[in-house]
Amino acid sequence: MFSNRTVWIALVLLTLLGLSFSESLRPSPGFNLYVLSLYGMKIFAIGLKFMELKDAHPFWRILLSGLVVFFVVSFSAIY
Amino acid sequence: MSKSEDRRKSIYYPPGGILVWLFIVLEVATFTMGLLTFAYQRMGNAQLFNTSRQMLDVSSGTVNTIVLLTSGFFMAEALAVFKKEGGSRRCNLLMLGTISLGGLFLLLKGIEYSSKLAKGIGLEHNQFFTYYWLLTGFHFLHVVVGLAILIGINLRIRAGHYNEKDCLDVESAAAFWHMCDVIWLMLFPVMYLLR
Repeated sequence: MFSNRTVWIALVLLTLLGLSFSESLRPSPGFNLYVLSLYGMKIFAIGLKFMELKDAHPFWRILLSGLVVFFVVSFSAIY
Repeated sequence: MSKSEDRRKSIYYPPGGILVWLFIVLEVATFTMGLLTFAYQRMGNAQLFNTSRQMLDVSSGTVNTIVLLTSGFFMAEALAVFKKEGGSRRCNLLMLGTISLGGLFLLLKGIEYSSKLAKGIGLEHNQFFTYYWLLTGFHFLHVVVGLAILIGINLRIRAGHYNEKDCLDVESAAAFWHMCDVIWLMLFPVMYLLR
């Protein structure tokens, strides 16, 4: 399984990737979905690894997944 | 499998305990509703919201995100070390790193706030900035409370109140701190990045 350090490096890289795309990409229909997916992945990684939900009852992982899916789908639909 | 690991498989014993997780669920739901209201209001006034969004500094927000993520990483490492070694010097240093980075987040956010206020952009500047101040300000308060909890927990660790087998309070504090990360990771893209 990934170490905390690997997850942290991935989180920082995803943040920088989000910044570079937000500065370089022209507004497009897929932009918001892309940004929300990046941040959804980060929320999922923090929940699973840093908050240790990977060791918890499946209910808590389902709740986390539900939050991420709701976040990405609802905001990309509204925007 | 140890007793604590076995208990973790129960729905009633998530890492940090059920009470802190009920709190986390409520807090995340509250911020989600706040952000949904923000997005709904934007639909009626997209031009104002887009113009106002461009007044926010994305680079500074990104630095804040990295600072908070790094603080979360230090906390996760501190907890892992605590579970192996108890309140060792390494654990205390990692917690000190967590607290310092949390303080840096507040400092950077304070600079951002004072720059906005200097330009006359307050709570009533327009609808976008009302949400900006309320949502980011509420998050700021959570970070202040999180820091106070971490400082308290660190003092108790140093005083020997906890050990490797009795670390529920340390886990709860860590879960609260990571919740601040999660909320920021919802606020930042919606307020600063989405177009």
